[in-house]
Amino acid sequence: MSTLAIDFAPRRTRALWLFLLCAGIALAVLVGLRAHQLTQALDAARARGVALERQGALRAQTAVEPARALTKAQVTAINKAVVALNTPWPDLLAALERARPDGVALLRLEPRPAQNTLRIVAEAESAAALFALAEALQRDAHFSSVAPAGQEFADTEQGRRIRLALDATWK
Amino acid sequence: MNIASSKHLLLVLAPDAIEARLLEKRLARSRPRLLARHAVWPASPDAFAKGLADACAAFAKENPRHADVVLSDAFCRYFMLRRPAGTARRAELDAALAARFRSLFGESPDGWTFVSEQHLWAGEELVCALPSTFQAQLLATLRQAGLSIDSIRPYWVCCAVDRAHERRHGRHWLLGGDRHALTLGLFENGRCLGAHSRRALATDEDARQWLIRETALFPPASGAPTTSDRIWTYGAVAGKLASLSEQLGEHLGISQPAAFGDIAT
Repeated sequence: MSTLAIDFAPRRTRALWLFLLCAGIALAVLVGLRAHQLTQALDAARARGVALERQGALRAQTAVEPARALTKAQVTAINKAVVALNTPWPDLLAALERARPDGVALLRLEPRPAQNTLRIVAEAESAAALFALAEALQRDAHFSSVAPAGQEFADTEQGRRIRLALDATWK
Repeated sequence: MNIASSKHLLLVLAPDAIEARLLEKRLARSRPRLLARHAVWPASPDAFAKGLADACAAFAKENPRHADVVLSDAFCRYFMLRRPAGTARRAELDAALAARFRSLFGESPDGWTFVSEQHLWAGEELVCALPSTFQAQLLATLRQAGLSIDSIRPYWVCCAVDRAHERRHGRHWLLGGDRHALTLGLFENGRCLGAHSRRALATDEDARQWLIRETALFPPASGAPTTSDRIWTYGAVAGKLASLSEQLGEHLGISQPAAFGDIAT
């Protein structure tokens, strides 16, 4: 038997319950929507987390990849190359250009990075020009010391010329 | 203020008697507890309003905030309304209701307030009518007494609501009455198929004949077990009605609830 909904009391007395019911339904809908949004956000965050985990796993795989074994000769060559690349060529060449007097020809430049020295072979008609070169290099701020490494005479078509070898240590 | 229990006023109205019952409703109890009762006997219909005000004022010191009203069926009229096919608007339904009332009772529906079950899916529904002036007078008196009205229900409707869960299945006759009116209705699988109310009958023989006529209007469906019908009796005349019901035939069993809570007997 159904509950007979026959009541002569004014509906106003039920308005509160109706209002509460509507408010409850509205609240439930809002909560449901919010829960839906949060669930979606949570799913998205989880998806991002999974993606990041995968990326991390990939990176870890990359990191743990064993490095190639280098021979001692290769390591030495690489180090040499690194040292040679670290030679301050622009500064050294500019200093040489500034220090070179007229009449002095630069025949050869041999860098020795291990010792931070540059072997300079220069040729001139007179020894004075070569000494002037050595003194100019000595005064240059890029070099800490300049030492003679050897000298020789060379007979050329223009006559006898003096060749001087200098070891300049750069800073 | 005690939120676990509250004082409540139950007004039981008959044409010549008004009874106010002070009840205590508790959250933990399904049935309210009767604290006190006070009866007023209006000398005439004109004195009914004053008697009602007196009954409301009887427990003013207890300060009950809410009131339930149980009306004798003598104030009301019951009938079934079959919703006309194609009825789409409330005005159309009201017109059908008015026409049905006029054809059944031969009176103008003006001056009556109608309340129906308003089941959207039901093709036929129970309608109860109450004189509008009486309803307005009742509401005004209760409001003047500072009472919030929880319900105003006819007596037979209260009977139908009582222990309704036991009558959800099968066919059940529901017979309720007091010294002024007698109402009989049939429920099948929880749905009301019909209800008819009339003035209390003078003799037992008249009552028996009336019951036979009314029950014959709704015979059991062919093939249905006739022994499934039961008749439930309520009210001050329940004992007499039970003895009468036994004479109606073997297919009607009698079930008379021992206690009927706080509804008038």
